[in-house]
Amino acid sequence: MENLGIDLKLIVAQIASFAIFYFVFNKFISTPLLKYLKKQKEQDELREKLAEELEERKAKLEEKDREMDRERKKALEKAMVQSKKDAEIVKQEMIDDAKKEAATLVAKAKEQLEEERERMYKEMRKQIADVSIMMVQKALKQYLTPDAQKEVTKYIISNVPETKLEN
Amino acid sequence: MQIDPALKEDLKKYLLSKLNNNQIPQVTIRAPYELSAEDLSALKRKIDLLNKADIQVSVDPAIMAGLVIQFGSSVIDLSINTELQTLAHTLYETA
Repeated sequence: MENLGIDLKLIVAQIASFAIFYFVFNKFISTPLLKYLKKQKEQDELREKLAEELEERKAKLEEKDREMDRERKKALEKAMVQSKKDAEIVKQEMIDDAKKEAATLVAKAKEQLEEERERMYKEMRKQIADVSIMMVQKALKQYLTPDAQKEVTKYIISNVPETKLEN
Repeated sequence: MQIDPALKEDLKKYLLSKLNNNQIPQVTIRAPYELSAEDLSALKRKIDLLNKADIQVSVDPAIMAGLVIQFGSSVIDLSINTELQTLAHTLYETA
């Protein structure tokens, strides 16, 4: 064996040292490293899982958001249509009220005109009567001389009905 | 309350006359001229009270014709003025 250049003690020593190295490497380096790598891998997987879940939630939320947006738009459109209808109704009511008020005002104005006309007519009749009486009074003043006055008075006295006055 | 002094005086006279039943009633006749005795007696025949009343005749030029007899608050208006007023009222109502 020595002629071949193979030192058995050396080989054994190398094998032993290799074994020790292997043992030490396995115990203190390999195993913790592998654990660490495994842990890292698990964490990566967990992160990926979480990222996937987040993506899913995000997608769901976005979908929900779009859904809500659609519903909002629908509600808005519905409200617009309703408010247009209501505005139309209010507009029509206002027009009707304005027409009624206008009719009332016209009727009132007619009534006032009629009253005014009646009043003026009465005023005119009164003035005619007053002027007529004034003319008669003037005429009588000219006509009634003292003798005529006496005659008329005597006539009136003679036609007085018998009257009983109490004390 | 403010009462017109003339009204107060009239009311006093009236009440006093009522209290004194023996008081002779006061009658005022307003005519356009001084009434003659004949006129007065004609009136007395028609109006009973004038026979026992104290008649005061006054001349009122505003009365065109006829006469106005006033006794207390009673008035008998036989003047033409009143007739004209009545005519005016009738014209006003019926025209």
